[in-house]
Amino acid sequence: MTSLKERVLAAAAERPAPKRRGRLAQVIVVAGGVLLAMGALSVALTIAGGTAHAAGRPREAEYWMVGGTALLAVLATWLALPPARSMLPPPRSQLLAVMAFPLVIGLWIARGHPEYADAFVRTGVRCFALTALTAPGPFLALLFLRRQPDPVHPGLSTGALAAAAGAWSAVMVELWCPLADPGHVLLGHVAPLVLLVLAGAAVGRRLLESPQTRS
Amino acid sequence: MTFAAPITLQEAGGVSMFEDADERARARANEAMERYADGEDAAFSALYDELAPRLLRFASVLTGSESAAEDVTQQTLLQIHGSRARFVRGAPVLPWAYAIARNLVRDESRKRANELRLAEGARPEERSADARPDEALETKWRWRAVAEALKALPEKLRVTVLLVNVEGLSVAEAAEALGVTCGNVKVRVHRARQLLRAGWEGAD
Repeated sequence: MTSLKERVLAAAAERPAPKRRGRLAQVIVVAGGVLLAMGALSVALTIAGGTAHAAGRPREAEYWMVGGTALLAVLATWLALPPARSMLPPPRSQLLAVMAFPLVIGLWIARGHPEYADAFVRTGVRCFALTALTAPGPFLALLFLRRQPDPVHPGLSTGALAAAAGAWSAVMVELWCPLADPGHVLLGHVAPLVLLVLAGAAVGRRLLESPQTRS
Repeated sequence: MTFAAPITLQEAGGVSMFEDADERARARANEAMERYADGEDAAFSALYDELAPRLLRFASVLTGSESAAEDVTQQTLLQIHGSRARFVRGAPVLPWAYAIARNLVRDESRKRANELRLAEGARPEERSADARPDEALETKWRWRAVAEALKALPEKLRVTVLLVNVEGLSVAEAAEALGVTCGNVKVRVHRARQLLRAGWEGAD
């Protein structure tokens, strides 16, 4: 009868696993992923018509709306990713807070409504589509940045990553969309982010499970 | 099992009653994991030696079955093996290993739809190479005393106390392994101690 140690060593030998990349290779790969995601967002913005589409919005309002959304995106990303030297995710309460960021972003954008009159009226379908179609890019980049499997709460981890990715898409959409009407913001800017967070949380277990359990 | 006097976690040996829950053991485990992640296949044996006794002990309490504990230990180590390419430099391996083991225990419990039971005689398969025979017997007796004491606690409190007071993880490490804040861990440990104290006082 074999000992537990013999069984474990034999099982590991039967399923070879690749070793870790060198530090430089890791940095290059991560930087490449980030640049690709940013490039994808920029291309999407250009195809949609660029920042000229937001010409009707006062310049000052543009600075704090886009700037504030960008700060929220940075904060969401920082909170959603695991600590630097850890194989484990941030605490549950922190991830849940990040998952609420779509509402925070919506409130931030909508606070511009009383400050100026919207140049035109739109329901938000195009903003919805733009956000929903471009967010997967940064989501995949963040998932790749995260790298390690999550044995604690994979659904919350991917939900938070989706919220952070959505926040970056929201920055890009803010550069394009000049509207701050609460109804438009809710449908066109908040709703796609909420759906993204829910979808991210739903696939978390599959995306972040250990490769050993997958085989 | 009955005892002549209630055993508190402090009487059982302070923060951790097992001598292998110290800085040198952690450093050996972390070093073995770093070497293994970098491609030194022989380091997996050293990693097993550092992690397996802990994981067996931990899983034995949570599953109430020595064979289930061995399964959990094996699956945990294989998951660690499978994820070595993604091991973060400088990350501590112990919280990660315990988190994987706990997740496997929970998955197993859901599959079997059983209540978690505590072991009544489960012991680590391999003890420290430095242990004398009389130390092994004393360790076994202390271990059963702890298992009995933890029986009455809810699962979340039981796991937390197991990690902090038995396995010797720091509050920060236990918080990491459980996916909660340090404050949450402290509250759980405090509540567990209150429940344990109330239970022993009630038994008197």
